[in-house]
Formats: sequence, structure tokens, C-alpha cells
Amino acid sequence: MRERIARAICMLTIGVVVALSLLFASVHNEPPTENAPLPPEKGASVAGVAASAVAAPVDLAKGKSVYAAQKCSSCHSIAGDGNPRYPLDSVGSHLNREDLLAWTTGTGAAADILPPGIVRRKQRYRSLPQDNLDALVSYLSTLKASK
Amino acid sequence: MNATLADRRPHGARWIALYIALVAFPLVILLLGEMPKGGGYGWDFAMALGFGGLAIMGLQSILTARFRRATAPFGMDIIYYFHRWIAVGGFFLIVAHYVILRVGYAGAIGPLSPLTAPWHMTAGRIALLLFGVLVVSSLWRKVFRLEYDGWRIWHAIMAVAAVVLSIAHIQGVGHYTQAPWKGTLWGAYTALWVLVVGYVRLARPWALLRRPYRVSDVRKERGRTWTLTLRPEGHTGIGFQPGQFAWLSLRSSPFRANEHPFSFSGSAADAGTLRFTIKELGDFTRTIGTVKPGERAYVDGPHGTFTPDRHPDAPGFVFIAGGVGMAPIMSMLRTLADRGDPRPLLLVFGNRQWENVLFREEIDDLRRRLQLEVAYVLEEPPPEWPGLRGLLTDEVLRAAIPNIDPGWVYFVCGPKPMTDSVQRALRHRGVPLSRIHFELFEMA
Repeated sequence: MRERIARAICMLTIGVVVALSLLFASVHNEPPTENAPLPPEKGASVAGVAASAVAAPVDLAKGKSVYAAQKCSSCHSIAGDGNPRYPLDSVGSHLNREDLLAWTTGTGAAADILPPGIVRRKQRYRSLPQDNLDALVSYLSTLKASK
Repeated sequence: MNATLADRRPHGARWIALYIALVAFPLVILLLGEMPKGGGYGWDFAMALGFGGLAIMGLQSILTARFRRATAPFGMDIIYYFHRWIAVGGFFLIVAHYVILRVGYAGAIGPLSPLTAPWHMTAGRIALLLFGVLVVSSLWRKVFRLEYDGWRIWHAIMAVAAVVLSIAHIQGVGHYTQAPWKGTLWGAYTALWVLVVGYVRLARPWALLRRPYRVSDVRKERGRTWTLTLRPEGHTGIGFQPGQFAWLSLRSSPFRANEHPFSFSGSAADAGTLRFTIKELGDFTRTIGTVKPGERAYVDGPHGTFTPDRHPDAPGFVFIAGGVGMAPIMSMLRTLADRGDPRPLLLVFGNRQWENVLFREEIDDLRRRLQLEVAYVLEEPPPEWPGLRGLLTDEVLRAAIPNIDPGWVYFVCGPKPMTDSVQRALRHRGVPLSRIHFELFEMA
């Protein structure tokens, strides 16, 4: 008798957690509103990258390898690969090179907008060699929303 | 229905609601206030599962902290039973958290190797592994032949390590606890877990140390069984209800967490004196016979709901005991006799051999003081044994209890296979589950 009740309460507890998790996920992922910053654009893709290759191919490869080495994908995603919360798919359409550098290294407007912990983390990238940062920014500026 | 059960239900329900609220707390914090940008349905679902799973794991120490007021409505044994099963549930939530991310977002969670992975991801993976080891080593402790005392120490160490690593994992990811007020609430919530561990490991042992007992008598009983008598030293001792149990520390400081649960076997009317009847079964109990009068002991109790005192309106009681499972029943019979209880009682007592029947002589004496009928059941009866033989099967119970009165209350205590089969047999004969009582502790 008591075992049955105990098992039922176990199930109830797990059920509450799963229900709240579902609620959390759905509240969190309401359709983006007009003023949402950097709305993820579904059209963005690797194809868009190739079409608008402003940087030299070598630079692009180097930029990609910096992106991978710094584990940018633990917070960002490109074409669905990585942390989906902060997609970079169309970042090249929204930001110029200067802004891209500021957001990467936690300076300027980014320092005011981002939470302090994230700013600190991003500011660590300032110590990267300049050509690595340039290559990364070049790579990011190729990420454009496809028309 | 018996009144006592109905009376205590709302009380128990409050504690259950509090528990579920504590589990839900981190998820509710996450839902409140300004939200970070969504990361996709699966992503956020997985994150929430991780928080929920950790909340369950963090609260495990509260369940087994033996808070008497919170456990009294349910019984300590069922709390341990719950602790066990909710751990499986919590572990599955954490596994789901990991699997959803591993499968759906492999790029985001990064490399598995601790050499290249960020430290907080490695912390999370080690925690996951430790939770797995904790669950497996606990559910199948006997299969792996893990000795109880060692297992207990490692269980506590690994559990604390796993929870601390999980907290570090969340701190390192730092996404949801970013807002200062959320960080504060989350910090206070995790501090609660730490406080409970501190209470269990430090404050309570300290309190027990100040209320010591001394062994006044060690008596050999039939069948490799011993009765220890304890008297309080410098305090008045504890009161208990017959059938309850306590955690007993012998030859060990309460700080060493080396205590074992045993039923009281003496009369609850005998103020101050505590008796425990213990059979040589496990590593610890084998040493009971070497305990000498004058040794110090510490007693954490009373605990448990296995007692006729919770059924004052029962017209009669049936006691079904196997072997040393007689200890708590003996406490009930002695107490009822001391109180001059006039209700009809029936004892069905299963043993292997007549020579090993615990308290045989005293049961004869109790028959004169109580309205008590006794049916002995022997597995290996002597020649010309007039009584029942075999195990406590449905058939034997039919002979031992020819007329089932479903209004009576039934107490069953013995090895688990016995209590299981007795419970089934009684159910078949129309006894409601709410009137069949047994302790879920396995007798090591």
C-alpha cells in the first residue's frame, strides 16, 4: 500500500519536472517578436557563405579553424551546428567588421549589452594574435542571410 | 477505514507538497523574470531536465536526513524506498539532459576528452558518471557484494561530489544563473543541500554524543541471537511506540556514521530502558555477542510507523513473524501486556527449528497475561510435532488463521520473501492493504 503510494509520488514528481520543462521550453521559444535582437533567419546557410566570399579562401579556412579552436560553438551555432541559442547564421548581414570585432572581444556596445560574465569571457579573446582575430572576423562577415 | 490513517493524511500531504515544491523550485526560478533568448525547443527542454534532475539528486540528502517530524506520517522505511526510486527517476532526467544534447547539439557541447573540453563540461560528465555509479551500486549492492559500511561511506562521498560537480557545471555554463537575483536564489537553494549534509554529519552526531547510553546487559537468546539492554546515562532517555526502531551506534562515535537500524524488542512501558534483539546475520551483527556490559552506545530514534499504537480502534491484532522478525512483535506483545490490553491477539510465528524459537518461554508467559493465541510453524519440525509445518505459505496461513477478520490489523515482520508472500495471501483473503503493515527494511 505505502509502496504503491510512494511509487505514485515518484511518478508525480518526475511528471511535474517533465511538465515544467516542457512549459519552460515552450515559453522560451515563442515565435520571435519584431524587436527581438538578431532574429535567427532560417534561410542562412553555408551556401550563402560561398556566394558572398569577400575574404580570401585561405583567410576563410583560418577563420573557421579559429572559430573551432576557441570553441565558439559552445555558445553559438552556424547552419544548425553548435549551441542553437545564439545563431550566427546571418551575423554578417547585421554587423560590419568593426562591430563584429567588438562583439567578439566584448568591447563597445557589446560590453554594455551583454551580461558581465559573458563580457569577461569574451574579453579573453583580446589576447588572441591579431591575424587570428582578423581571420575570425572575416569568416563571420561571410555569414549572410540568403536573399 | 481507521481514523488514524484519515487523520494523518493531510499532514503527510503537506510534506509531499513541500517536497515537490522543492524539486520544482529551480524550474520555477528559471521561468520567472526576464528570460535569456530561447535556444530551440529541444535545447531548452534538455536544460530544464538537467535542473530538475539535479534538484531531485540534491534533495536526496534531505530525504534520508531522518527528520522525525517530516518522516513520521510515512515511516522511515518508505522514505528510504522513495529515496531509492526517485533517484532512478532523477538519474533518467539527467541522462535525458545529456542524451538530447549529445544527439541533437553535439557541436555545442564540445569534445568528450577532458584534455580539450572546458572544465565545466568535464565536471558535468563526471557528475553524470558518478550519479550512474551511485544508482547502480545502491540498487545492486548485494549483487556486487559491497559491504554495507564501506558502501555507505562511499555513497555519501560520491553523492556530495556528484552534486558539487553539477553545481560547478551549472556555474561554469553560467547561462541561466546570469541574472543576479536568480544567481542568489540558486545559491540559497544549493546552500540548503549543504546545510542538510552539515546537519546530518555534524549537528546531529553532536546531539547524540550528548545523550549517551550504556550497555547494562548482553543476553544470549535462542538461535544465534542476542538481546542488548541499554540505559541512558545522565539523561532520561527516549520514549517509543512498540514496533518502532532506532539507529544504534556501538563501539563507534556518532560522527563516524557507523550506525545500524534495529527494532526495539522491549516494552515501551518500561521507561528509560531500551532493548534490542539482534541476530548474527551480517558483518556488524556477528560481533554483537562480544559486546560487554558497560560499553557506550548512541541511539538515534525512535523511528517508524510499524506500531499498534497508530491503530487504537482496531478490534484485534494478528502478528505474523519469521525468525528474528519477532523482535518488534515482542515489543508489541510486552507493551500490550504491561498495559493490560484486553483485545484478542493472534501470533503466527515461523521458524526453522523448535530449538531456535526466539522468546519461546516468554511467549508462554505472555499467553497468560494477554488474550493471545499462538500458532508456531516449523520448517524442520521434530518428530511427532503436532503443529503446522513448512513455510508461511497461503495454505499454512489458512490453517493458522482459519477465520480472517478484515477489520483486524495485521503486522508482518520477517525476511522479504516471507513478508511478500504473507501480504499476497492476506490480500487474497480480503484483508485491505491499509490494514497490513510491514517494514520494508531488509534484514541484512
